[in-house]
Amino acid sequence: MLFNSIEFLVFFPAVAGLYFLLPYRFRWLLLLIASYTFYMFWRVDYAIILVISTSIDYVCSRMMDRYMDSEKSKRKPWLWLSLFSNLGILFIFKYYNFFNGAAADLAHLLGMEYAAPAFELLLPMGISFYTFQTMSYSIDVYHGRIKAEKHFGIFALFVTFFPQLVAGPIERAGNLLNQLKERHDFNYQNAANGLKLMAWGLFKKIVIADRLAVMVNQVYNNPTDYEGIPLILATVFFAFQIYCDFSGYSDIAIGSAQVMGFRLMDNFRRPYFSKSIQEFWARWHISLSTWFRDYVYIPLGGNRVVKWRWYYNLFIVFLVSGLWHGANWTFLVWGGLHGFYLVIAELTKERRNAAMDAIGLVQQAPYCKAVQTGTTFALVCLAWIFFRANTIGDALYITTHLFSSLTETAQAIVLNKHAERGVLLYLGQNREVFVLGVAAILVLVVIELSQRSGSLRLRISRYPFPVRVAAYNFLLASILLFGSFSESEFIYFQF
Amino acid sequence: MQKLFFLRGLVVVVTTLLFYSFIIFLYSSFVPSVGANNFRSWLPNALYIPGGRGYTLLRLKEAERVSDVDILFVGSSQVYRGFDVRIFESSGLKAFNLGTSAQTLFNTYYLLEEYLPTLNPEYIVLDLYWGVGKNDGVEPSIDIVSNSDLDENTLEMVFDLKNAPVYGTLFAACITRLRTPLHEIRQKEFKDARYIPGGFSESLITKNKLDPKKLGEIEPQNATLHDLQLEYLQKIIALCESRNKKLILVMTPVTKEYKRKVINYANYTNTIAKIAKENNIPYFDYNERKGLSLISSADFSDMNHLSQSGVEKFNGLFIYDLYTSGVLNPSLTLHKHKGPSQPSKSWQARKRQHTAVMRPSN
Repeated sequence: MLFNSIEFLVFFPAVAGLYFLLPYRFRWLLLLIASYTFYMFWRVDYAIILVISTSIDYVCSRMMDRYMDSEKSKRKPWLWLSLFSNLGILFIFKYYNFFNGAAADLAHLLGMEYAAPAFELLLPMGISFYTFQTMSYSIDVYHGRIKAEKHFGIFALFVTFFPQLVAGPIERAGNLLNQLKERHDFNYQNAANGLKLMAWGLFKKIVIADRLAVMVNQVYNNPTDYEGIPLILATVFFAFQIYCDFSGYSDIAIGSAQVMGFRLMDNFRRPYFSKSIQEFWARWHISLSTWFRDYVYIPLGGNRVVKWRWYYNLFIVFLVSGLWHGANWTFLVWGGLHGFYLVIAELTKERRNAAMDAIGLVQQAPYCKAVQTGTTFALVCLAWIFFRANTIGDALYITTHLFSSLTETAQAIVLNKHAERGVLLYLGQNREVFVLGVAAILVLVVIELSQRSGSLRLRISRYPFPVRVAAYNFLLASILLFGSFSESEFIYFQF
Repeated sequence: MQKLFFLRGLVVVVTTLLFYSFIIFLYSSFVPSVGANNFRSWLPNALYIPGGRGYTLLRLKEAERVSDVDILFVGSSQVYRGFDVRIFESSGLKAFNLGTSAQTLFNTYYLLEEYLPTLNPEYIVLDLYWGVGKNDGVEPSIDIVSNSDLDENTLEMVFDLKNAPVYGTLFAACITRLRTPLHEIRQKEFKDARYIPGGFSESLITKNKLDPKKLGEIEPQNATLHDLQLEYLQKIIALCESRNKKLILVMTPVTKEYKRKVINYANYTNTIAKIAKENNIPYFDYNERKGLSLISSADFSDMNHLSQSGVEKFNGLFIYDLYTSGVLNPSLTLHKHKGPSQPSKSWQARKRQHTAVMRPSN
């Protein structure tokens, strides 16, 4: 089920209403049934993967718990079983064909015979999210950071909790599992704030992301038809599209959980205002970056190793992060690019600071900030090209033609002799779609800027009720008037 | 606490609807719709554009008044620009053209439900142009909602489609008509086409430029029938059977240059022929009809719409085909027709004329 669907509009109020009406002891069961129903709206048969993954992790964690006071070696086989089964399922569904194809290409290059069959398997929705969530649980139990959950139903709910099941935030057992056992009574503030966040998330998804998607798709599905300005525009639009798509999903997830009294972790903190790539990753998809930090980067040694090893750790983590996003070379390059940015940033840190000092930028704090933010955004956009492009070839074409024929395309747009403006500026759409897209981005930027000094929701809630109502009217009417209700999937569902 | 929450929630919902209605009212009533019916709008979810290019407003108004026709044409612009009711009248057939912009089979079904009881045709000619067969029916539904009475069938069509912009347009239509009722809405005039009573839109363009650049920009395409359209084709067949109407499937001609862009044309037309055969329905494909010699530069006004000269050639041959293939039974038509012309003479004359100039291939 999609958050931006009619079904969810009926499903969510029904579940939230029943949640508060039911006696406390039955609530977990309601949420578990609701979560499986939510998932099975997509595919009924694939729910069996959830059951398998849940059962294996439950048994493994209980076994690890049993040996908690003994040697780690007694717990280790159970950890391996959990990791092997989770990663095995993930590999079969998500990565087998990719590695199989790569092996076939390599064999072809070497003139060897290779005939492993390809599987025609549909990627289970959100598999990377719930797999990582359960893996972190098993690892935490292994290390004794948390106790294994004894109640199978509560554990199954932890794996499948519907607000964050298919696209995160990737929750930690330490945060979510206990909340699932707590009693949550109806709370006005929680319900109101949750609904506001849901509405804002929906606005980001269907008014901004889905409207921009039409223009982005036009260019990225036919990149060789374009040069210069349209390629730059489409790339910048994609940066906002993916941000609004994914953070919109996260907002709806966090908001819907909040209505029922659950607190999910923040997943985005205005990432495009970051002044460095390092800061960007502290603000973008926080639940995943902290997952990689805790379960990959730190176990590899983090930054408490010799320098070359630290750089290696950074690079490897981002390469794996790229692969997490998708079994495609484009995602690997995207991850690799971010790893490369971070390594280069560390290597050049002192020289950059000295250069900024020499040209007097350090003394001009606002300019310095603007340059840093702009540079970071440009680097992030450059990497997004690889993330969005259909093939490496397309991505290379786009990166090498971003600044080609800039004067010519600008001239053609201004003169509009043969109606080129529609193709080169409006990206194949009409003027209204383009202007609405740009206006929506501006609204987003203004709102995010206003959130520098704290949550806008909290500030709005301090105003008298009529003023608040007017603000909600604007937001909801904008969704009704400008939203794209085509029930398009969220980009991150595929991961 | 819960009471207060629900009360305030209700206030937010109600005031949002009022605010939304107010915006729609202001927009639809006071913002001029330039280049009507091109679906360009600042409010993409409220595309209420009455009196637009396809003359749907005039056509549907007229359809309310007309009764007991011999032959009814349904389909997209291929139809309302492709079947000249005057030619059929001159052949003794009282005709009405119920084509609307981009009309899909989904829309056709509801239009037939609405108008069959009064128009009461003996024959229903249904066009299956692939350009709309693959569509989801949103654009034509917006056109119909903008230009018709919001009666039971229109509402049923809207609620069956389950699409936000169509709901929005319906809402906009309801709000706007509080100020300007449907009968007060004026049809806009267009230089390139004029409305002919009976539903036909006559093209005033006599030359087709066949711009090679535009032609080059048309991507090679696959002709398909959207699942929804396939479902509604079966419903239309069942509806015609239940009302004892003779359904005729037809493919109106497009320029050969445009047709060449369809990679799987043979498959598409064969699929339709198969459906027609299974249901014992006649099917005429005028893109494959050898006797129809249409010149792309003169007999078309653009890539896929006939000019008036093309319409005359095509309609003449179509009438001839209906007659010679035995689909049309002149005696059945004659006794109903009360017009001043001599249908039998026209029929015979047309038959002689066509027999003299061409040999039909199908």
